[in-house]
Amino acid sequence: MHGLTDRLAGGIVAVNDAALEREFEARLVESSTLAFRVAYGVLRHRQDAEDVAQEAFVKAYRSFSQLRDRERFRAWLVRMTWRLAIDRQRGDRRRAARERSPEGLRHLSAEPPVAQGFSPAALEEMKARERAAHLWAAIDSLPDKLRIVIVLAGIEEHDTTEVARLLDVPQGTVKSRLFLARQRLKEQLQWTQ
Amino acid sequence: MDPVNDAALDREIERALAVNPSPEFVARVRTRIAEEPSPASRGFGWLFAGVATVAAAAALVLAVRMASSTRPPATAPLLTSRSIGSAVVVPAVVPATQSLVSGVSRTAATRTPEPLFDARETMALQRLIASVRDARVDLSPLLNDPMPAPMTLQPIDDLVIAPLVIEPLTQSGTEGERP
Repeated sequence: MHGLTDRLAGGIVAVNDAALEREFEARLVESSTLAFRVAYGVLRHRQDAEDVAQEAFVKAYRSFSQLRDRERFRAWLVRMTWRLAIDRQRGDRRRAARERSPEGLRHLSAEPPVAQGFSPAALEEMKARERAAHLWAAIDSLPDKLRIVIVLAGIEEHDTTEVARLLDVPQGTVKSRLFLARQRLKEQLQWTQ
Repeated sequence: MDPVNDAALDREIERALAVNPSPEFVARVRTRIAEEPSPASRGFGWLFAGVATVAAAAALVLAVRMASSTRPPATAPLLTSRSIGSAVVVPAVVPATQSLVSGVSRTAATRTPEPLFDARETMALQRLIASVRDARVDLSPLLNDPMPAPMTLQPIDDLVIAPLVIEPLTQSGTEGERP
């Protein structure tokens, strides 16, 4: 009797394993860019963003069988990735504040240092980098609720319905937060002009 | 840059976020996940652990109930010796006004005092019973012997009681004087 029960349980686990892994693989393929971009929106560092996104997928995999509504996987993954990225960013800032060294600051910058050439293309690139630096400094200074809305809107091409679904809030809330976030960004970016 | 324009701002953010992960990213995640135990067995593990915990708790409750309902084993002594001098139990006298104050004092007041036995007497009886059981003491003569005759008394005739003599009073001297 016990043997039969064990074989039955083993069979159920094996079938369930295969089905879950197929399903998770599909979710991984469809959501990998989203998770990476969410992490990148916080960290602005490719390698760090990939590390954080990978960590989020591993956590998601561990709890995947407990996720009842699989349609909410993307929202779940986005929130998990966001939290992990914010934690990483805070850890980096604390470390940078401790070190206070040029190497530490260079590690935090997203891209390699600007080339010292002054051709028109190089100048244009320098300006673009400067604009981006101002923009991200302004985004980083936003409260978390506004910050995640503006980043997700940028990733999802300003589809507020999708952003509302990802954040599990009403669409009106997304719109009002987006409006507030834009207002604050515009104020800050004018100030830095 | 024209930062006041919403559309320009949105374009700038979209452009900054239009970054794709490296082509190896998904493969790296797959490799990392392959090192993890499967999610289904993890879920079943929790299920089995839950069932086992519930079963263990039920068995524990059942065992406690059975233990509390069973009597003490036959090998345990039925009488325990207590010294009267050292273990006198005096039932607590609780006034009626205090009996509702606390459940503890109420419990103490309603408890009946246990009977007390002299330890020496108990020990002697136990020894006697044990000796009879082990055939070291034979009590059959006590059962077989007839009742002893009552003690015989001396006959009353042997007693001599002298008759009582009353001497008459003599008057000497005046009345009221001592001789």
